[in-house]
Amino acid sequence: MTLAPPRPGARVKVRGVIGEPAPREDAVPKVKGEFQYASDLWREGMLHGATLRSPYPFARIRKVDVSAAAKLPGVRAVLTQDDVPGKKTYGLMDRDDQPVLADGYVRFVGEPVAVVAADTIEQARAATKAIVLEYEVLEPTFDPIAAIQPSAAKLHPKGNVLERVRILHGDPAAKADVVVEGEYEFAMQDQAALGPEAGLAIPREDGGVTLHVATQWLHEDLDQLAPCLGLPESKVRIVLSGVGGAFGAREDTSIQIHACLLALKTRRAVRMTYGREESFFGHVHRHPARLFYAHGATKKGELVFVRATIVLDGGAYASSSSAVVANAGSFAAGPYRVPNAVVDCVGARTNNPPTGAMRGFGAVQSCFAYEAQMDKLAKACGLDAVEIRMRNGLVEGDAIITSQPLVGSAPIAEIVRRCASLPLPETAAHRDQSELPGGHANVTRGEGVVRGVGYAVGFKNVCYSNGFDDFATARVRLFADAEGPLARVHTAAAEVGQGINTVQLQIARTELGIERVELETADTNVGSAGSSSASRQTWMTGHAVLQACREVRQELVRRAEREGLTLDRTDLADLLDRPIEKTVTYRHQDTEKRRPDGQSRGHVAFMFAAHRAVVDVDVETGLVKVVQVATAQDVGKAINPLGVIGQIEGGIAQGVGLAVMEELIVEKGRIRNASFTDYLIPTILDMPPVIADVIEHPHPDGPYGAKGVGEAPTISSTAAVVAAIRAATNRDLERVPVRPDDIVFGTSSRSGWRIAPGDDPRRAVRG
Amino acid sequence: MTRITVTVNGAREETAVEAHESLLTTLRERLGLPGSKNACEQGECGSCSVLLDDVLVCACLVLAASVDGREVRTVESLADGSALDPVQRAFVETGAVQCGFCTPGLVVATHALLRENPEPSLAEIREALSGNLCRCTGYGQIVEAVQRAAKTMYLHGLDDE
Amino acid sequence: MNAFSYVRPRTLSDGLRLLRSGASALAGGTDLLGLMKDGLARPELLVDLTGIEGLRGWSRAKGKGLRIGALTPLVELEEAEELHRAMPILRESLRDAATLQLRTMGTVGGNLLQRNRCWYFRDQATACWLKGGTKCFAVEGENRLHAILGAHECVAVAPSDLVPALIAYDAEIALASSRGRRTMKLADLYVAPHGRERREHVLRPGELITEVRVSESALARKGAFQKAMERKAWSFALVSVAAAARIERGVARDVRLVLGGVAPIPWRVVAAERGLEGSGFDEAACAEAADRALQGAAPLRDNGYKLPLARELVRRTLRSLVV
Repeated sequence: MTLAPPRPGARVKVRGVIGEPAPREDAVPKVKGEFQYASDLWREGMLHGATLRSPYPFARIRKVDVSAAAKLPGVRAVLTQDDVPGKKTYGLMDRDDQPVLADGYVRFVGEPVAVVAADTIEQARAATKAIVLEYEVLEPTFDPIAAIQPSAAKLHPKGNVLERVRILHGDPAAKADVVVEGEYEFAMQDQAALGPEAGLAIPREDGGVTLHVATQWLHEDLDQLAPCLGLPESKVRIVLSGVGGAFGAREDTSIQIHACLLALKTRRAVRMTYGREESFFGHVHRHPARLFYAHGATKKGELVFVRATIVLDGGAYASSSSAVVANAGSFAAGPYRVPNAVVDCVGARTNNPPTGAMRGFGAVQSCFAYEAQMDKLAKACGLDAVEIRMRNGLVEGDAIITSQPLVGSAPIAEIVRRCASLPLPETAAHRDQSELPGGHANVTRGEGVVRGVGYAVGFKNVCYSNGFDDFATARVRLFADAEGPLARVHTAAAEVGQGINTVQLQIARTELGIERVELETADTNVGSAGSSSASRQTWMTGHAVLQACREVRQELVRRAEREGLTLDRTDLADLLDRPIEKTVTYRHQDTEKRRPDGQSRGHVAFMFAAHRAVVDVDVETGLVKVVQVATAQDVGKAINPLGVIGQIEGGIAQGVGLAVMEELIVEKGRIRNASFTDYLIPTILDMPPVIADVIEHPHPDGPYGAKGVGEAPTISSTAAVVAAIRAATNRDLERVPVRPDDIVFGTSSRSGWRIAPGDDPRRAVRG
Repeated sequence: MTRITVTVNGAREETAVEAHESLLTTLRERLGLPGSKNACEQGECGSCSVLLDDVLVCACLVLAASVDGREVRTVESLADGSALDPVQRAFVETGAVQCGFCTPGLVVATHALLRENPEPSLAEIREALSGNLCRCTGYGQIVEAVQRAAKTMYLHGLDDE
Repeated sequence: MNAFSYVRPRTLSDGLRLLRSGASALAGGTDLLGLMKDGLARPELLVDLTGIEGLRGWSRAKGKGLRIGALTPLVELEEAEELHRAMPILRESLRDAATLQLRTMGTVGGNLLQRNRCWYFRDQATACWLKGGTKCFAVEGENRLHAILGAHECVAVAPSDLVPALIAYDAEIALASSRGRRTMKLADLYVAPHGRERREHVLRPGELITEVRVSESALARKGAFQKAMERKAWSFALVSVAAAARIERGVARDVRLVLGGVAPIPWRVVAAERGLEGSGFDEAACAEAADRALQGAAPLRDNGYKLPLARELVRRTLRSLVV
């Protein structure tokens, strides 16, 4: 063994460490068109899968006859519920909830009833149409409040209340000088990831199966999948394929079980890819909500109480409704000091499309309502939007309405102040015609245009909560090849576009002090990383990689000491005649389960952001142009500043979209606008410039102080845009998205139910 | 099946296609060029943007049979081996790529823009790319990438002279 | 998509001969291929017109007005500076009509014949009246985007932005079939679906639009187009308005006012035009015309907002002719 000459002074500077703006490791293949997404997967001789879906929102299946379909040319398998070899149901949080294929009933339009594998996709689709089905149509329930009344028809053996969280904090009968009330409506938003649901299932010689798929959580898929296939987990391997965006929509399984069933049945590789329309029917959406609020304050605008009743429409199956309900409830009062609160939050089962995870996960719905309330309160107390938020904002040590005190920074006043001090855009008169409301054929040349400015603040948990065993595993292997030391990092963290892979590489480079770090493909051959959701991967997988690297480094130190060397002055390759491999599973500190009164230290950490939106509204026509969004967000530590900006701007785009255009039109349970022509998402012309003040107040428990980033930009940006439109129009605008009609007419939509804020919505009265 | 001859990224390809097959399907499934993406297959998102006889089109709405004798350029033609072209490099460097599903279409559309208009204004950039949906980035870093690419190509042009 | 044969004739006469029953003409494909993917069009034979010489491009011979070949891509009309000087409303109406890619692919003839965007019509699983079913689902359904004027059994709206602009210039179209040729006013091409007429236009089987013509006298008009849509690009009109008039010493002659997005056909309002004849497009005249334009409007549950929107858009479009 030869020793490298001792290097004078410090080590060579390593590039791509934490805190540096780092281009993504997968950006090069992506710009070249070489990156392999799930829908690009291809195998010689593979079959194509297609799904037959229910046309009815609620019906009993009287008869299924697949014999004609099975005889069609090219058809290799036609499967229904009877052909599911193992467990017949699955579900993200309740494994007994949703049938793999319809179990005698269908409960939403689009529910999978049968799947087909054929030589070509056209043959597979033709076969789905040849399946004979007889339905007995049942009376559906679409109104979530009606669905949870005691008299409502039961839509599922498990009943219609998916979850109820009641939070009692302080004095439920507290009185206040100033009280403002409001009823709010929140429409259904879609994640609209561009990459369709897709995967390739390949049967194995040992009777098992390997699934390549675009997902957010490999091990959760495995845990749901293996029992349904009747296989031990050891015989199922899931490999992350290229993911074309997720935003929550890939937290539930889509093609996973179906593709594997078909592959196992036919003993052939089977690819399934949804088209755009099917994608809208084949993944969960964001929960629509009805929110009934009362805020009480002193004359000076100091909050005395918040009372809220929130009903979220979970659709036909549970998905992650229980956690979404818990979030909407826990965060129902916002990032404010609220001594007394009563919150009743219920997730309802209906015959609408199932809803589940989407960026912001319950926090977005309540933020829209509580921020509207804060503005009403400000008005009633003669304060402006900035003052009321600074006056009531949580500071470190304050508790939220679940009695959990905030640890680390809770810089509400600071983010509001810093957001408010960011430069405002030029006035309309100075700007390009193309930036006014409307398209090129502008309906205005400035006439009728009123500018409005609005503020909103939001917060949410990072990582999983309420006693969930939340962990992430990382395996780091350090060895030397001809070019020197090389580290390989293996985790199951799903890179869905958010940038966790680059973060892992940056952390490994920082900890190991080497530049050559590579990632293994994420799969189930390593321990779970948990989901790419709840803004948790930097915290969780980041921590796991960090700790695994530190263990590797400790071993290096031991080896160096054994050789009588100083690590900093030694060529690492010289210590790596044997590789070093360390596997670490990181768990964040325990969180408490929710008590019956909703109180608990249920969350591990929080993230915060403030948004200021500037809009121009053509008040005569109701057209809106969002002119600018300014934001101040506390990210703890920007591990990759380039990625942080991307998350902030992208998250705001989804918030802006929800504020002014994004709505799934669901009519009698059927999505009417399942296309990108009819479900509008912002184009590059719609998206305003974003000014971001990225604040780094380290969290004591986060890796390098980092908190999560991804969800905060979406939580309050919607509320800020609507506040700005209210400021421009003097309309109440109690519903999102805001439509031209709402601005022109001031239409507000009432649920048709009378519910006193804080009351149990299961005892609602019509009227 | 119809036989067509088409020049794809400079190479003459002969292949049999179904009458109902889109150019996008032919590229992705027959010619081994999955770089053009299948996000909507209805012309709504721009992810499958390619140059057909040098004109920017959505490959999902072009019948494969109709490109017989014509020339197609896809995202796969832009890099020279491992050397990225200035547009690709700018997209990498500015963080304009997240999930990347819209990226190939945007890179091709940016090429089409900069060829016609080497120094586009902000408004012209937005206008030219308004047929390409992106769900991840909020477009800020994409605008930056186009501006950077324009600058690089302009300076590169000066070098050539 | 269903199975079909594909041909690409080189001459118009071959093309017309091929357009027998069961055949569909393909130009840019931006609407037809979408319809076929959704199973809403099922031709047995697709006759690709793009190989036919002589139907692409435009010309303006002195004194003979403007002729636009039906196969001219929209973007060509939009980009030609000479055309923009002659008839600026073309660029105004086309730039918001679709994305750059779709305008590059889409042709004038195809734009004139595009099917409506009603989501019941476009949904393969819904047997709406226009597709031979028994009822229009939009009447009692989700109808924010539907007609407030001139509807019978079907309340889908005419989707084109270009068409109202052309009608404001009294455009004519030349038609050809294997049985002969004819011309008609573009406005007469459209029919509000009703009774046994479950279709949006009166094109005969086997007939093609070959050319759009605008007379020299119409080109003397000043025109304006405005469109309200729910986002800034690539979105169909909630309401669009095309207006044109010859303005002589501040006085309006040959006034035309055509609305899109409000009725099953491009909605020309002759009563409002007459009221403006001889006016100077002053505020009062424009406001009155706006009211007249919407006379007889019968909004559905969710589209009442189109009334004030259209009224304001009409007023502004008219005013923009003189301000």
